[in-house]
Amino acid sequence: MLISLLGSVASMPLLAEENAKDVFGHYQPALFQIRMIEVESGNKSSIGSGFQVSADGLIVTNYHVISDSVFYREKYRIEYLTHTGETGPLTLQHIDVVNDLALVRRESDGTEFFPLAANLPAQGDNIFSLGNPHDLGMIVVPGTYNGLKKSSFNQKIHFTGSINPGMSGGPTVNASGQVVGVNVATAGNQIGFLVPLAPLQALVKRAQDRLPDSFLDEIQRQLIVNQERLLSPFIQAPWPMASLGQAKVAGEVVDFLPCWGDSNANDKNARYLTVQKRCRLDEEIFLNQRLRTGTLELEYEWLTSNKLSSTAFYNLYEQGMQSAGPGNNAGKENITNYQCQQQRVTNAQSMKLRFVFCTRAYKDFDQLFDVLILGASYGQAQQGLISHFTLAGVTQQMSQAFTHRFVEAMAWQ
Amino acid sequence: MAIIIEKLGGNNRQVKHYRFAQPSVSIGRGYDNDIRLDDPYVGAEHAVIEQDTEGRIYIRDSQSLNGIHVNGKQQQQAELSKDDVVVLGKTRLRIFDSAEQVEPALRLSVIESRLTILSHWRFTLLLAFVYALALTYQTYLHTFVEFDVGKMLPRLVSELLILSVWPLLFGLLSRLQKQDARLASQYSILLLVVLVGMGLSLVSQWLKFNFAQFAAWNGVELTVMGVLFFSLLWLTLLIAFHQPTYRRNRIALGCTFLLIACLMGWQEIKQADFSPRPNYQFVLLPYSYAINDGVSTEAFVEGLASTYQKTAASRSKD
Repeated sequence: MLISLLGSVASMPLLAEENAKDVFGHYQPALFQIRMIEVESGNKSSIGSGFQVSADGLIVTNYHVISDSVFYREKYRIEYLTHTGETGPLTLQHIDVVNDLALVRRESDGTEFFPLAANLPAQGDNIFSLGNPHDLGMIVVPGTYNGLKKSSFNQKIHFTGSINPGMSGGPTVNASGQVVGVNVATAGNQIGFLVPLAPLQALVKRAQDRLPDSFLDEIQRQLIVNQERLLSPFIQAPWPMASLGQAKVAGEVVDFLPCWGDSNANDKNARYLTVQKRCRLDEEIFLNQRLRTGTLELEYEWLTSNKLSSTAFYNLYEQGMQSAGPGNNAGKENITNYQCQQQRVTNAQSMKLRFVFCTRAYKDFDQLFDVLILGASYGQAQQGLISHFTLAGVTQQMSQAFTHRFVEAMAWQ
Repeated sequence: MAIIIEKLGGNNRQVKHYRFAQPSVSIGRGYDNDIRLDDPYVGAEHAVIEQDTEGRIYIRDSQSLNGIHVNGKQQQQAELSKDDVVVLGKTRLRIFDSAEQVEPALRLSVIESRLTILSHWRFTLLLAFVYALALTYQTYLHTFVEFDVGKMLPRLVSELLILSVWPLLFGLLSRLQKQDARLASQYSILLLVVLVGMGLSLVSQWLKFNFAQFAAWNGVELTVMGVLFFSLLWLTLLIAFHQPTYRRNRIALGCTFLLIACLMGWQEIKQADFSPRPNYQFVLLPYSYAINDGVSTEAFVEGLASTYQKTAASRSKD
């Protein structure tokens, strides 16, 4: 990693090198390592980066860096570490779980801070990501601004440069040292993602607001707002239909849900044909180490066979129905077991369907559920349609409305 | 009035029986005795048994090397009753008056006389054949590539071998009780129960497909399984052992309850455990097996509320 880092620095134009040095030198007092301190042991349990955005001590970091202190308030406290090695406590002010941002405050006299840029840079501009990867000390990583990530629901900046664990929460600045984004994730080799300006500005603006009474309630409120935005296109109108084999299933409802297709047409031994379509929102919302939410999966599989008897075909078909799982990770502390019910349904398109519907409740959020459904058509002797969706962190009302649209959006051609 | 002497095997079961009308009987290894015991630890003239005019029976040691033990205690002379076990050398005897009453006869079970057909090997083979056919057909219906009958044979053999454990075990137990193993009957009963079980599981598939919402399925399934297991065990015991009906009922009922309790306990443990995946069993059959068209989308979506409520209620449980 170190070698590749040096390599990339060396290949940058001279100007960039100058800028990087300047920016780093000038703003170093406004850069912090953010550490979660486990109260019992008094030692740090996880680290991230953060940067000051106002003269009166407001610091921005990632929500996921400080999430432990929201869910386990007694067990953890937040501390900062300056470049000169001083430490001090931080108090949580505001959070934005959907964009993975948090605002904390330090009571101290340091007045150096990063100004926020007014606009996003132009595609191809050099930008610099700052942070403390793997607790190695503060570094600067030059890279390229590559626009907003295509067809995403909650937008992220695509940064071509290495973002490593520990740099989370650090700022990414333009050549004049103004913040254009916050380091948040990596997709491997030189592909990094940043939280863009807009949510960052919105969060900083909220500094004047009263502190939330309960951060958990605040998280639930934000999740519900986010889910309403995500699901309302699905709920407002019947879904457009697209064909899959001899069946018709949901077409493109929104442009931020990428779909992938597959079939076993090239398998010479198989005595049946299966055609699949899987759509999955490729972002999720981090709540804590063992709890992710905000996922959406939509899957269809069309099966047919003229070589198997009807009974054998249905046995095959039945096997495809036994292993539905959730789309998000969740642990025992945060979620209940699934409860399921099964029902035979005839939808308005006269398709005969049999469903298993399962839901589990979030223990910390009294209105949120994970929901999954698995359905199979049973009206035709030699063909079948498996349909499936999972939703994470939704209210009963929204998920029931979604289910209604989902069940209606299936037909035979 | 006569002296009855029973030679006992292990387990105190009778292996040989003597009856003497005379008032005095001598026992020993010598050829002159009334009863000759071929036991190297028994003396040539070891003991004498005598009966007085009132029917009381005594045993007297004839100054033997190893003596006489009555109920584990060495005695020169002792009065004997029916429950006493007398040991000479390594031979165990029971000695009593012929006036002692035997236990009343066991009533022959009505079922037993109807089970004679099961004891024919031809019938057993027929059942085994039917079972093999059913298993092969079932496997065929679950094979989604080219079906190869040759590959089925090892599976059939191993399935039959696994099934054989039950009849062979009870056959062996009844041999140990010095009774006929009656393997044909044991095999027939097991195969019959297995076939009935296979039939019932088809019925249960149909019921689950049509009435998945019925909450008590689990209880019904356990009950039917219990009845099936009880029948199997009861009939097996009937064939394997000579025992009074009340005892057979008790053993079969006890074992059935134990099995059901274990199954229920296991289910409880599994349910209480956290699982990140939903636990359900999905049965799918073609339209011709459906009794109706099911509900409308609206009714389905509305009906989901109960599941939300159930899972919301489990928030507070732990």
